[in-house]
Amino acid sequence: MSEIQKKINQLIENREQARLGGGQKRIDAQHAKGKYTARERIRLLLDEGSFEEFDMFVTHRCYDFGMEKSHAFGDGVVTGYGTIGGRLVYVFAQDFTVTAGSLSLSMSEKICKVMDMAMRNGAPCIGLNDSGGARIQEGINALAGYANIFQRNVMASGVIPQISAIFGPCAGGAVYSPALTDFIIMKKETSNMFLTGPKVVKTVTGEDVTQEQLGGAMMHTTKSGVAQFAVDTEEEGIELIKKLLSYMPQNNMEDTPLTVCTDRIDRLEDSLNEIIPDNANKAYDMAEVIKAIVDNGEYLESAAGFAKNIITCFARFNGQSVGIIANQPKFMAGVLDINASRTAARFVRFCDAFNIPLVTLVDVPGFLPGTTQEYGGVITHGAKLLFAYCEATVPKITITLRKAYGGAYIVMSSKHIRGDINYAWPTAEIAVMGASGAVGVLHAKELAAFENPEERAKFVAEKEKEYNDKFSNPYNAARYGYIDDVIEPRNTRFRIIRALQSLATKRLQNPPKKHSNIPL
Amino acid sequence: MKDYSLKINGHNYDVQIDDVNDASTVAHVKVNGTAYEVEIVGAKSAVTTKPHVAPAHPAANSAMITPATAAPSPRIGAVAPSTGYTVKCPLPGTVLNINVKVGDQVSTGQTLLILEAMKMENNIDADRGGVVKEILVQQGATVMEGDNLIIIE
Repeated sequence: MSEIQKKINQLIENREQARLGGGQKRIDAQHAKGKYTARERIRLLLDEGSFEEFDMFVTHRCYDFGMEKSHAFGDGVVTGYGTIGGRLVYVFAQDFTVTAGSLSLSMSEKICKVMDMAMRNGAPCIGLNDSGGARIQEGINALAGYANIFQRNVMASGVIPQISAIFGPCAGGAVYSPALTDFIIMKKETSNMFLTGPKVVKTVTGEDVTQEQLGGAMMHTTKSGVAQFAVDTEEEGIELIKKLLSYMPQNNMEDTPLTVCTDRIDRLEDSLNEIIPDNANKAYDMAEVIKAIVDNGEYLESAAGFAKNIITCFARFNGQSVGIIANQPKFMAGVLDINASRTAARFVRFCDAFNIPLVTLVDVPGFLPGTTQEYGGVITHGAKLLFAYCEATVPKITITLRKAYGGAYIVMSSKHIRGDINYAWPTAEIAVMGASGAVGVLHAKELAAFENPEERAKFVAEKEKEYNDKFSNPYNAARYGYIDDVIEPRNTRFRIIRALQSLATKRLQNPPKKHSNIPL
Repeated sequence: MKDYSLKINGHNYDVQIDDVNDASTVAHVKVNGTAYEVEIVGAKSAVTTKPHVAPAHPAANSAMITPATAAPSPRIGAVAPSTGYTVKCPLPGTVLNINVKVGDQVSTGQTLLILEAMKMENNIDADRGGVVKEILVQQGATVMEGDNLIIIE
């Protein structure tokens, strides 16, 4: 055997060893937990044969606490690039089979390398997290490693899409990298995210909680809103990443991807003419409206389990990606509250950062009253959504289906905050407040003078009707040009597509500044 | 002073109630050693009749206590079981209609009650299936955000 062949054989051997990560035994243990290994996950994620790996031969440089005895190739993370549907992405996947995927300085350097390259080449960065936390043996260097990643997450934010999938534990400082990214997907049962685990919680607050209760996928997608998606299987999570990316451009300088539209753009949807119930107190399902107007009825809802009173989703019109923000009258009357405002504000800002036009479907009775909301700072949180819409320079199309009252009317992408095209259905009620409240204020003196309650009720009914006739319609707003047109509901799809086409060349810039001061 | 040993939803409660007469508007009640001041709201006959309430009728007893202000506290223990859950009120409003009864089997997404809030009729649906264990509100009641409405097991 020639010298060179020996060297080549050595390389092949090294590669094979690196591919085994922490060894077959640990791989089997990973499988027994119902989890895939880092490499298997990458194989599921990327187009076949597209993966190019970096830093396979990196090892840690720690010589304390017995760490000098084992130096696994790759040091607990698999990094590199490949394609998804032919589009370039960078990826890192933590390998739980190597020192429980714990983060060392070397591991962080590998992750930082792909993040830097993703930024430089303008491609999304995907993190598949499965890590026991900081590698304690490395001490402060492990923290330095996290910090280096956080800094890059922040610098990349709004430049390239960043998606995190949590497929295992993610505790302590580790949670902040996903938290800084655009979307978090969690696998039910096997993944969790928390700053301090159940043991510490027990000693500090005395609460008995399981990992799942404290930081499981269901908790984070329904209670805390930390994660947007909960999935049953890792395969489902991986498919979701692909689907999400399909709606996004590669970076902030690129237009949204166009796909071939197989749905007629002038499709009339007669069901929409009937969808608003005659009784103004009755709800309907906004999801039905979205399904009826978007391409092929397909949309991908973000944060579906959290703040159900607002729908935030990606969809397509004539093949072009849009972000849809819609009040959901079916839940909590579609009010804006703290959670809805936060969720929608973040979604609006994501879309604006990545040139994804916004379509807003309005049916909002107002902001939710009450001490819980006010004590919780609904003013600040509501201001986030207002801020996000005001700041957004992407095309903004608004359809008012029914209610648009008071401050919530302004917030929901009204004409006044640079809404480009604002349409209303004939069922729209655009007013400063509802009839009963308005009558109470406008006729306070007369009302106080009544002694007979029946006469009073008659007077109220009369005045409410007068108010409704005058203000509970779209025409008053249309009279001032705050509504560009009142449209037939069944024609909504076509009108939105036309509007999007006209706005494709929209040019709008905010004044130069270091950054804004959004009320966080 | 009267002592009761009650069993509610499988949990034991030692309840001490101080002497309560017709004129009383406040009763001092101790549940498992924790003192509560319980306001008596229009339940005079129930209070004045000699309560030969034995542990055999715990429900009657708890009903006597629950309408008062301190009610939620003793119930905390009952809410905890991991299989069941409490349907909480998502927004302030008025209970318009209760669609289920205690003992009913409900499925995920089934409408449990209708809440009028923000001038809208809001369906409060079951997050998960189960059996209705307790209904904590009445038709027409005004409820606040976060109030417990129904316990599903």
